[in-house]
Amino acid sequence: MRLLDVRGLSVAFRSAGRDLSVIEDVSFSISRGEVVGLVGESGCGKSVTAMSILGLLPAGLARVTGGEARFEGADMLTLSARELRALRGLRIGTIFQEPMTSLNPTYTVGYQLTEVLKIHRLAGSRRARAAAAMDMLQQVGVTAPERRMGQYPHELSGGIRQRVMIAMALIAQPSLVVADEPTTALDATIQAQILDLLRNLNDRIDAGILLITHDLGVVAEFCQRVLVMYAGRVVEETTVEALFARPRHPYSRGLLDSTLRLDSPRSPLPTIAGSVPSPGRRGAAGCHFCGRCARAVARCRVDVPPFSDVGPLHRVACWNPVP
Amino acid sequence: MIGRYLGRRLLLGVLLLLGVTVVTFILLYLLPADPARMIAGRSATAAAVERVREQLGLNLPLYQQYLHFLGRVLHGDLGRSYMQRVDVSTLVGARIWPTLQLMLASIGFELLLGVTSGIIASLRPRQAVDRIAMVLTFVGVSAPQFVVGIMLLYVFAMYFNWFPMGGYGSPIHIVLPALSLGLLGSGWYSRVTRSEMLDVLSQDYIRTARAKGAGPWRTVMIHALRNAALPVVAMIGMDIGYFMSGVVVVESVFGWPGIGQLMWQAIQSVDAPIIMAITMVSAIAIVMGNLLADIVALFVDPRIKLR
Repeated sequence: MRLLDVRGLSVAFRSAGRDLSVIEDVSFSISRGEVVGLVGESGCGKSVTAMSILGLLPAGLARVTGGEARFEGADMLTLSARELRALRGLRIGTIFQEPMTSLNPTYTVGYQLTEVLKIHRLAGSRRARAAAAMDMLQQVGVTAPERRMGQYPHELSGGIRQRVMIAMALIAQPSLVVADEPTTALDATIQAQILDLLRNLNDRIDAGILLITHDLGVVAEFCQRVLVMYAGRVVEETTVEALFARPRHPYSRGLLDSTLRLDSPRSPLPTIAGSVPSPGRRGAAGCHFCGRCARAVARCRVDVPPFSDVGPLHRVACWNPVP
Repeated sequence: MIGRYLGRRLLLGVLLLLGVTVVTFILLYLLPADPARMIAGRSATAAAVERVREQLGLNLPLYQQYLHFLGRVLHGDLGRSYMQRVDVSTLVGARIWPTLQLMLASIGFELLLGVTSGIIASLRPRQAVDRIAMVLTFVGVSAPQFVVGIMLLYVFAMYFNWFPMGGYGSPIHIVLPALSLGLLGSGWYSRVTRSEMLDVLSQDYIRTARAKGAGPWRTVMIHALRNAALPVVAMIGMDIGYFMSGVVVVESVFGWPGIGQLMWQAIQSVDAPIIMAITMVSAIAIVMGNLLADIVALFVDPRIKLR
């Protein structure tokens, strides 16, 4: 059985009294032990997709308008707040982007780590919780865990903070880990360390990982499958090998072409002209990308391209895919 | 580190106290009232008035009067009341405790009403609860304390007869005066708490707390409130200054035997030694209040270092 199965997820933001659709009909699934990348430019809806599944969208501003997200059989979108809370932190761990702002500045590392165990009543005594937290710190490669337990986030470096964040997400041994740009705020050398760490830890707990990133290098390094998102829709879904060898959607192609590589010729880096249209200016008809697409044909402006198979484990939403 | 900080703050406090006594001394000197004439009585002869003046040292130049005053204070002698012929330290000392009680009770009301309503308003921004709370705090902030006091007296003491009209003794006596003092402050606390909470609740670490499975109570009371508390703590420190001015009026309205009422009587009879003593007590209270707020802030936010 699939660990997480998202079907037709749609999300709208409430703005000036009307609903603006930001996520349209997003479907994907993750199995245990699998790492699935969710890539796209800023503002394409990657984080909103993940946060809507977790029930962490800002209340009153955003609303799930359709679809389902089955996690271990239960539809997360219809669970009560209490049932959802019981899953968050326990069955689903979340790693956020900014370790600077994602940890509470007024509580110690030890408090914030053991809190997960306390909320979900995982370890009986205060001492057992502290022992588990120190053990977890050790596993994420934090030296002198005993001393770290009593430290505050501002006393730690960015790399250590992110390790603490990871320890917090994994301490309850969740079956699904949502990592929202886990390495974006870190130095390049630390990035590699953190990814290695995440991979090694996951070998042990065998969770499914949803990795949100705009960095194709991270995807190549870390993921097995990729979903490319554009303006609130999934436009291509395939294996990492296939994406890098032969991307079929013009947007995926553009993303790959605009990545800096060591063997790139000494010419200006190609870019995708324009930017992601904001939710209010996407229009209902046609492909959202057609305005920036060199391969656009007449039909692209009229009909939404269906998601169709172009090969084994390879699906694309495009009327005129890259050959 | 903290020792040096405290030393410097205490030194500053002493300097401030000196400044306050100088200014108050000059203001009292400038008053058109003549204490010697008031003490000697309206029918006293000019010679008798002059004798009183000499006895009290009021015939000396201002700076000499001040130095004499300072010398006495440094020896622990606050002087004698002109009117009541009793040592000022006895008079003031007996009234500090009632005022302290009133102060603690009113700060308690302020925090209870203000912080609670601020939190509730921040959880439902721009909705009915928030609007109502903000209108009420606006009224609270705008109403002068003596008006609030008289209104409370009229409604709850005269009309409903739930509370005594005034006086001192049992816990029930403290409710109305403490409310009249606290209502104004609670409006400020409510607004500050609301805006701080709104800011904090949108922070990333609140989302992290929810992602860990924390319920609404834990998210708000543990993760958000502590981060929003700092400006509130700083306000308590400053609040003592406002309190000292409010207490003069409110204690007189309710017949509360504290230093505010004593101050009121002393001002009316230009009883300089009492006025000087209470001014100094107030200044000390304000300095101590701010110092205490700084120290409490240390425990609220670990990022703060005093030096």
